[in-house]
Amino acid sequence: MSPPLTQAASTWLRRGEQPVSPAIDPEEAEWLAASAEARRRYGAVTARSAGLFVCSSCGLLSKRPSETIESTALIDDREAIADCPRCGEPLHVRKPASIARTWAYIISALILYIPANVFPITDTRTLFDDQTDTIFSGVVFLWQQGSWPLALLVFFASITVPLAKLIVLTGLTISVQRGVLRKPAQRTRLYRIVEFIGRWSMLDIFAVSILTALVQLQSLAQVTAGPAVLAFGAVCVLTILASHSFDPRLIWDPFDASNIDPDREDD
Amino acid sequence: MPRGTTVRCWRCESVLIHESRRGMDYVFSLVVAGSILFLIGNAFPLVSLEAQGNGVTTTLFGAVLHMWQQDLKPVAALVFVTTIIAPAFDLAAMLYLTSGVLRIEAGRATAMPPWTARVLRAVQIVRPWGMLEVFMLGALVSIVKLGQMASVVVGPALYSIGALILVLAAANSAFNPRDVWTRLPIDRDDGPAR
Repeated sequence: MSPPLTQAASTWLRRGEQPVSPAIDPEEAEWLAASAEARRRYGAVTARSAGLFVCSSCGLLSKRPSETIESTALIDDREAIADCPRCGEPLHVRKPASIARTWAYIISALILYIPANVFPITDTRTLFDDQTDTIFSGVVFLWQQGSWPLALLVFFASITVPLAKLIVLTGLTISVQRGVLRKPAQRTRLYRIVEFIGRWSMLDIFAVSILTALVQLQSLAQVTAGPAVLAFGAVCVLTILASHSFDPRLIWDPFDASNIDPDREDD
Repeated sequence: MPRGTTVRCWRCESVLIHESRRGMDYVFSLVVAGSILFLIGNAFPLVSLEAQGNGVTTTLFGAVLHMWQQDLKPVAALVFVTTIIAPAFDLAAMLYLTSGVLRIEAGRATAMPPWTARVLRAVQIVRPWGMLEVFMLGALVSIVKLGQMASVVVGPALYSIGALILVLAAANSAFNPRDVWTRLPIDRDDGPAR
């Protein structure tokens, strides 16, 4: 359990100044001093610079133990040092091991993206022929059938979205690792778009599962799912996990330690 | 904060707090409606196919089962979780939480029911994995693909799932988790009432 933020501390935070009357509790006085030092160092009032935890689940602010406030090692902490006093969620300054996890998911998804597109996703057997389709040839089939809005939709959901997601997340992770100090608002917006559209790549998985369940007309026609379904399903799950494990606050952290205004106009 | 207020981050403009315009009774009624639609969506056929006297009908669970038997167990599990388990858990948990808040508002309880924090934390983790709206478009794509091959009949379950997507979206946007969080005590273990 981590101590909740007291009235005195929250008043101090709101006003951004030292309390006029000395804190009653010596532990609190120690925390206020460490927190004030961190604020002098970082400038911006963020939960991190103010020596606070913000609970990733319920949003409650609670104090970090004074001795940990100055330590930047906490940014990559895997072990939570406290649980939220309201909801019990383990408290972290940033998502644990965010960069390492995001990289792991991105690389696995990139590898599986290849078999997902090369191998057949469906195998259609009719009386007259036997036809295997990859994700891309399925799009071409829809286009030739004249339903080009759906062809565009499937192309967007199955081919564009996973690839765009991987490219954007790779770029964001590299920019965070290098401590890039440019266009943080745009990078954050990009992250939010990626998080929002990610789920739509599952579209083809659902389409194939209905097709294979339905087209079981014995000798007349039969559709079976190909090996690409497994790889593609894994790509969908891995890209979603990758965007969940990336912490967009890391984009803004370098600004706390610099004197650069994040809102300045870039060239 | 008055209802309908939205608080945004001054740096990245992400929504921090949105005080819903609607009350918890509104959310509760939507969740009840959603639960009924969910049951219909699972009990009735999704789509049927007819060609030269042969007919095949599938339900949501039937599609999952077929994938499983085809030895594509991970994909079957993925479809099962995203279209059945996640929405079912979401609806059940929302019934539990909203009825807890309503009981407090009506004066019939003084505190939220046990495990509230755990349930709401689980909802926040499970919700992104509920993908009924993506499933709906996937079903549409497969119907168009089949359209030229045989006659396809859309079953009541598909309409029901379509309505469920709208109801769930309305319920989620009207539900403010803060209404639950702020009713929980601070610095207390969450668990069965002690």
